[in-house]
Amino acid sequence: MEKETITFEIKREVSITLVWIVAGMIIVTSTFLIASQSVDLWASVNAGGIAVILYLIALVGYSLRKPVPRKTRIAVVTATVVVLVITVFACVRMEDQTRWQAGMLSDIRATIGRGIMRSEMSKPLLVTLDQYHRQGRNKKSSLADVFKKMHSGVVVGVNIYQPKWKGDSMSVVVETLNPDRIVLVSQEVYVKGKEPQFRNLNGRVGMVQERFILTKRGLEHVSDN
Amino acid sequence: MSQTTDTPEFARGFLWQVVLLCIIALGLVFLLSSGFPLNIQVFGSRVETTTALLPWIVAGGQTIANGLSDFSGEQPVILAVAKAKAIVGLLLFVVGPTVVFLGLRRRSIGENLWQQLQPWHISHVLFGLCTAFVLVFACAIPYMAIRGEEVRHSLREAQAPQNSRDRIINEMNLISIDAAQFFVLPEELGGGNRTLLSYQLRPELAESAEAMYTSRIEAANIHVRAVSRRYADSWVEVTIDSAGRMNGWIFGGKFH
Repeated sequence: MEKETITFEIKREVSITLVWIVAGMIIVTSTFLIASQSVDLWASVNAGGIAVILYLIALVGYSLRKPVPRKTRIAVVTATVVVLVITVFACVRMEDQTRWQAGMLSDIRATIGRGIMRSEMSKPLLVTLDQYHRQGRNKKSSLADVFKKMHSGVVVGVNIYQPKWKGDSMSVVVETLNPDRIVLVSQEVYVKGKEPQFRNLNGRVGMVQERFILTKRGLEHVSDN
Repeated sequence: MSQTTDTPEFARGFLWQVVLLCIIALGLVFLLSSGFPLNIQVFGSRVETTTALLPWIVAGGQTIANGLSDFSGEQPVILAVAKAKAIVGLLLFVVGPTVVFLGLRRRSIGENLWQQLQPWHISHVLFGLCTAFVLVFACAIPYMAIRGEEVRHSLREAQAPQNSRDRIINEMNLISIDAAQFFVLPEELGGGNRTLLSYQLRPELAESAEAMYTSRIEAANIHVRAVSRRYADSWVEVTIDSAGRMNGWIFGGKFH
């Protein structure tokens, strides 16, 4: 008789455990999936994490109810709170750290990109300036004529940059091609610039963009974004 | 049956659980001391274990992977594997504590249960595994948090001078362009008329938030020195020729 009672008790407890586990799984998984579906996992993990914390609070409250001794309750609740607080701290700091690292990669990429842009834009403009002033006082060709000789068929809006590698998304576009003024604009497709709302020449928003303006007096550099 | 084995504390099931817990704990300690994350081979496939399933580690890895995609000019993509790992990691924090807390309750209020349960019963094994997971996690998380703070601090301390150095290099790049145009411009337009001998740094290029720049003529080239404003005794030197090419980079102090 006693054995039957215990078997019944075990089955009941196992059923309760299974109900808790299934309910917890459904709550946590659905919270995770409902949260942001962007390329970043943090929104989903944070939402799922909050669901786990709420679930654990309910679980601890349920499993420590009477007749569990008061001392046991205090000890378990204290240990649980300490572990949860440290876990949340580790999680928050990890998010901050990895975002910082990803941002740093973006910054480094932007810095490298700006260097390449400046180099790639200044080279043809410096050659143009050099060829223009080599004509002496009586110049027959304008800045635009010299530039067109170097880049045959070039018109406003053309990208004169040749990609150097597979993922090279940079471009150098001729924005202005007047006889005494040439403007080149270089931009990146993915690398973010200083101002998130800046509208790039290619229609994207917030990406790195640099500009060089050539006149007979020399080059002027403008960092658009 | 002796008196000692009659008490629930020394019942067969209880002793078995203690042994099982010790074995699991020792195994986990061995795995953890082997380094994070640990990779093992299963039928020729590499399987990541230990911290690789912690949801915040998975999310952090995805964030850095996105950063690397940005860096290489590719569209960031979220992997289904990463998502699945994060969900499994979160569910571990549901299953483990549930089995442990409800199991502890059952054991704390049902005194004779230790004697009645079969030692190799599935619920015993599950309870043992979950208890080991919860205990190891509870013991490891303070260490992980402290270690994370150390890594965070050292990374930031190492990266800051590198960023400053990169910005200075970019500013020197502008100086080289200025020098090259000075070389080609005629004197009446403020140029050097095909020489750099009279080149002087323009005020807007001689000073920035990152560094103070000075220049001197050296064998028909310009030698530029940048002294950091952020890091004492840190500097960069470079030689610029008439075409604006930069050679002979030297880095000092924290930029070295």
